[in-house]
Amino acid sequence: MGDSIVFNDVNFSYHSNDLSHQALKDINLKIPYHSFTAIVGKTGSGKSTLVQQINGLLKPTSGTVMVGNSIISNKTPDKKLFKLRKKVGIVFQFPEHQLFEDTVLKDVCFGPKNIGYNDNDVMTLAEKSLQVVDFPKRLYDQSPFNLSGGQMRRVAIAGVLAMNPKILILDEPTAGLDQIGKRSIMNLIYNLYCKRNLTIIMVTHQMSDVSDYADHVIVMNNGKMVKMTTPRLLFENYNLVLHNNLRMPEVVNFAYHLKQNGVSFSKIPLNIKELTTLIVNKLHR
Amino acid sequence: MNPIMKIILTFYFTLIVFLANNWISYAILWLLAIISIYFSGINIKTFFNGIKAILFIILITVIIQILFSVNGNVIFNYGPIKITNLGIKYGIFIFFRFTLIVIASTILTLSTKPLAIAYGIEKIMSPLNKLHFPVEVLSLMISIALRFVPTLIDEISSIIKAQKARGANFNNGNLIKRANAIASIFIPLFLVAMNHASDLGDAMVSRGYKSNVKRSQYHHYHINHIDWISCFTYLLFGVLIVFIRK
Ligand SMILES: Nc1ncnc2c1ncn2[C@@H]1O[C@H](COP(=O)(O)OP(=O)(O)OP(=O)(O)O)[C@@H](O)[C@H]1O
Ligand SMILES: [Mg+2]
Repeated sequence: MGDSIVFNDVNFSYHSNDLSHQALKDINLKIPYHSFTAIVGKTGSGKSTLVQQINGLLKPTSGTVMVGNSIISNKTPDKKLFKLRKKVGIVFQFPEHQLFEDTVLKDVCFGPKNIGYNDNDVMTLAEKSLQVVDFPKRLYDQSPFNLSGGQMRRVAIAGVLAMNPKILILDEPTAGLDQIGKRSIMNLIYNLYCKRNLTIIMVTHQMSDVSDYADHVIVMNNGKMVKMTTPRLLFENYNLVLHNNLRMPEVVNFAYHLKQNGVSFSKIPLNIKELTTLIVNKLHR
Repeated sequence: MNPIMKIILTFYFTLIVFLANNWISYAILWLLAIISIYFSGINIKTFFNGIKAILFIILITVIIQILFSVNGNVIFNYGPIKITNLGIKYGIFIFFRFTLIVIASTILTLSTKPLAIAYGIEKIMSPLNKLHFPVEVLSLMISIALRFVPTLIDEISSIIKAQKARGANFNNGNLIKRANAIASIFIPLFLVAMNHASDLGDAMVSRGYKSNVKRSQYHHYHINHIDWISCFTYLLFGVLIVFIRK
């Protein structure tokens, strides 16, 4: 059985002595093992701050975060966090800003080398991760700075995957990519989720990614967790979506429009497939 | 206050600090420094946080100076360490001197916006324009550089986080590993800075920036009675010191 993540009364403030402006307020939540959890909320609601608590890049000002049986609190020494970082991988917003080596392959090696794999293992891990993210082999010895945005993103993700994390956190992994790039990165993440028994936590502004891939969703607003629920329950709750500056995914929106025009379904469709089935059933009846 | 006046007075203060050479003249300078801090309206706590680190460095320098002083009557002697009365006196003077200079420049930087400082520098250097020295371009460069300090600090902290998440360890490990960890911060930082620079350049060109056109100022600074009062006060103290010094 793998590790789940538990937040207990977590408060966090970037300026530790000023509690009037907290980035996180009284967060209590549990993210189960091998779930695909999406975190949504408007800009500045604390999503990035929340995920950085999970591997101790930011320590809670008060309260505790538990990852499996490791506890992170205000007093946890950095040495312990180092171990945690093997288990929890974070792909940051615009991860291509972290590339620095002179070749792609070397850059992917940086992570596993740091956490103490021997040279042989490092190489296998790096090559395997680059394969997983579908990165063409002929570019392994290229400088990472000569790549396209989407390719850089893949290299950066591979760099984190190569550390073999059990929990993979992605902060807006598709921001700034074109439609096809977005799709393929999302498919890649979903494949990883299925094949490697990972726990995935993904910050996103794309509601269709929530409805298409996630099985849990956390709604953040102004540093507070408004709700932890499932995508279906979220999108069935029109007010919840509206009041937290979110949008409905296109498919759900379409269903709502149909409903306004007198065509209502037995349930809210979350993706094209469900929608099609519902419409076909209606037409055949 | 007018930034030009502030910069000039800060320089002037530094000059008269070097004129002082006895207890009374230092006392007068301290008085002037305290008056200046008071009227600058800077929170004392912020002020001390600002100079804490540098005070510590000055203190260590002075202690070393005292421990190895040569002239004067020996008070204490142990091996190479020799403390003399004159040594202590000059040590304290040196400490005062540095501290006062640090205080003056801290008042300037804490009470003046970076852009205002750039403006002041531009105006003070404007006579150089006659020599075809591009003062305005220089001042623009200074203000842009100052403007990007906080941005780059943000970038550094996010890059550090990203590399830490990849297991980079800046405190342990052998030399090569550590050098690599540091490179992992500075190379991306450099690239980000380059990107900012080229974006900014594009943005400026597309908004019609040309270096040989006279630019107007958003803020206008006037010299008012406060400036004259401070100027007068500083001059008075300066004269006083000239008379009191030995
Ligand atoms: N390094 C920092 N120092 C100080 N305050 C910060 C810092 N980073 C974020 N904040 C503040 O914390 C709050 C939450 O920021 P956070 O980055 O977690 O938001 P977010 O939900 O990830 O937003 P976005 O969707 O834009 O990425 C904001 O009010 C922000 O101003
Ligand atoms: Mg964010």
